[in-house]
Amino acid sequence: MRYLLFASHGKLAEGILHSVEMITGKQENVWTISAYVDEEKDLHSQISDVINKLGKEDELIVVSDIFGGSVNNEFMNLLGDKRIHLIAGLNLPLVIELVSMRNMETDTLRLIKTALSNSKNSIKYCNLEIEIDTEDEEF
Amino acid sequence: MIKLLRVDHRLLHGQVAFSWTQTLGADCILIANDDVPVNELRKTTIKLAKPQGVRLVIKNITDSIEALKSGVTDKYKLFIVVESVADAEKIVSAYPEIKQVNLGGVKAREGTRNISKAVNLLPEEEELVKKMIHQGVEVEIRQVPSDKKINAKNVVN
Repeated sequence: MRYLLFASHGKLAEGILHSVEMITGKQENVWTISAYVDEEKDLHSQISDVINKLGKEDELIVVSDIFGGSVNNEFMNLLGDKRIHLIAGLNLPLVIELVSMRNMETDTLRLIKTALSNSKNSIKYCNLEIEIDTEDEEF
Repeated sequence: MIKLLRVDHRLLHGQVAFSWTQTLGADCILIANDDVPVNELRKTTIKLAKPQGVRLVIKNITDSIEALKSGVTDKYKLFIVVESVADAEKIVSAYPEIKQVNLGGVKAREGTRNISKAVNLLPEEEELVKKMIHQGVEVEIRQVPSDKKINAKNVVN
């Protein structure tokens, strides 16, 4: 089974899941970690709780909020575990790419590379976009 | 062939465009609307929302009906999007080959009733929905293809 985990400083992760489900419908096998919200909870143990749910053949694609941030750094320490794939830079277009392709693309490396390149291309300065004049299409 | 006619007040946008086109296997989208062809900014925005690899045709309601009747659309797996129930009913009545109508989003206005999630209808719009159902059209409510279909027959008054 291939699982997704969104992880962030504060509630971005759970917020982004809420937004994704609004657009793509209810998602199964997607987890979130909102770090440092509850002072009782330690990030390290929040992560362990998730990793412990994985079976031997499972895969986990983690999307953390920012490269170099403490949340991402925690996951960096786990990359010796080959079941875990880590992407930094949580954002809605990226996550939508991942959830909509994850059951179609069996090659995880290709899934991640495609999702990254498509979503990078969706960050736009819209003022320039509307200058582009495209031809009207006909039947 | 007509895959689906969808009512969505936001017309073509983001993932909705993508997921519906993909699920339907559509190769052509028709935006049937009287404002978009003459509203450059709105037209540009819709063109930018077009999924890759499909044709996007934008026509007013009269020209849309004419195109459908003429047969030029027959070779496509066509996905039609309109912004209102009234526009949907005009097209369905003029072109009875359309057998399935999806209500995706109709925003709340003065006097509307929330019949399901994102669908808010005026009493006269409910009448139009019933008229389409009587003509043998399946009218269903779903925002995204993976949602469970709600049959409009069961929720209109």
